[in-house]
Amino acid sequence: MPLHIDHISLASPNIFRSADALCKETGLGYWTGEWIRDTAVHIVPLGPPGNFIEISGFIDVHTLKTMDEHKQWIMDITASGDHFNGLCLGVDSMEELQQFAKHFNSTVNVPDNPDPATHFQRANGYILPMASTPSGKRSVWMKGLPNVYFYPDRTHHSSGQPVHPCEGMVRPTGIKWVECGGTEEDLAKWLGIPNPGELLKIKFNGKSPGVWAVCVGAEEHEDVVIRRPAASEAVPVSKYAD
Amino acid sequence: MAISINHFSLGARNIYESADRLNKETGFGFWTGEWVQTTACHMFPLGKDVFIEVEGTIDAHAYLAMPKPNYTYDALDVDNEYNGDHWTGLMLGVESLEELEAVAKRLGGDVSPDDSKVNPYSHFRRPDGYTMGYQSAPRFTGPRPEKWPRGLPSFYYYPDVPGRSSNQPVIARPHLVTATGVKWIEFGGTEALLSEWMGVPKASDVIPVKFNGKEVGLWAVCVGRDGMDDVVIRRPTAAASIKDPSIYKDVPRPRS
Repeated sequence: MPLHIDHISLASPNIFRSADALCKETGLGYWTGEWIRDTAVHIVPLGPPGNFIEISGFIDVHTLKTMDEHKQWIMDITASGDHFNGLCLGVDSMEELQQFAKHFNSTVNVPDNPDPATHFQRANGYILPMASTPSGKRSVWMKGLPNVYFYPDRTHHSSGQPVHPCEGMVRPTGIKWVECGGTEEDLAKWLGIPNPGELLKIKFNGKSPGVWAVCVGAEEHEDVVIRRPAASEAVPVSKYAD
Repeated sequence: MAISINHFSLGARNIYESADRLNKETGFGFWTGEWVQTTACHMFPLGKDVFIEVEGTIDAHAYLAMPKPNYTYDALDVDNEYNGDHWTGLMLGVESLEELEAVAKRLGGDVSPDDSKVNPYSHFRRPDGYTMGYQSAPRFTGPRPEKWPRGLPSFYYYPDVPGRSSNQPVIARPHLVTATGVKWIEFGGTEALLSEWMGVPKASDVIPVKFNGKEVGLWAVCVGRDGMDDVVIRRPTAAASIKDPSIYKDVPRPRS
């Protein structure tokens, strides 16, 4: 599989409330229990070939005692409710990821750091190995740009774990399209590839950068469109211009 | 009136980290996903319809909007060897609404209403849509009587025992240990105080409780383990980390 969408991050002030609301809105189920440091995610699988939405938010309010730029960004983009705050692309090998790191003039966040606190962990004790690029203190998400991931262990990919049963549940059949702000030229330049819209099934709405909507197919059901504002609407990306 | 231990609340800064650590300490499994408004719990069934709820605030914006000082936050903010974990509640159970109403009347409060069907978001909920329908007492709608310090147990009535948090399946993980029930608990204060609160001649004849004379509240829970030694889960009680209780003006109420 060439470069593809892996997952989409939805920043939330209260991941329990947001997951409950999204389930009621769409019929898409979710699973719980994954976390990293002061943040947890509820995972909404979107179907084959293996995509998901991670509903992400602080679950440790004591973390606010030591603020930094990234925490403040999360607080600012969730002050008025849920916002899509990350488009996460995927590749199928570490070699491909290294090529993107080189293109970004950056390095790879390695998947085998021995400190479990650096990884997402699950309630079943599983520690998720995950590599990504670009690295750096300031996430490219804050500029409305996607980063790229490689998951060495596809068996335990978040998209493939069982969800809690819920009333009126629908079975997702995969992402149909994603609506992003900005232009295809902007994204092509960032990724260093031609025609990313066609490759990644992305439509561009010309608004501020980031994800604005995700359309998911559903078995024996109309397509489901999940529409939330991009984080850049709450906090302009110009705030993080170098 | 049959009074029993229903559950324990273990306040945590980060319920995910705390539950993971409690699993490693005891071998007990837990399940996830229960929440009410700005609070969520990870649940550890202990056997015989009793459970620990590892409980914390999971909404940072709601926390910022809460009145300060905040008793529970301030207790959990005090560092200890358990990343700030403190016991924040001992919850007793009765077996009928009539018994719960009698407890409330005796202590000068009332019973929280069961409005779970019409107001589900004020109740603990689960991802599968299940809404908890328990009631608790005493609820003090005015100032809490000075006679009764914080840390004394609330009383609960759960009409749906199969749906109780103690009776849901835990998430499988390596080296899980089966809990076989609470052997004893350690409580602060005196037996006379707890006995009067419970309305019984001697509390330790009703529930397996020992007293350490420290601040009122739960200090330790001893749980049996299948094929292993008992395990004692020891954390400071919240009151032990509060320097000046008089600055907390809010009226503590059991959740409805």
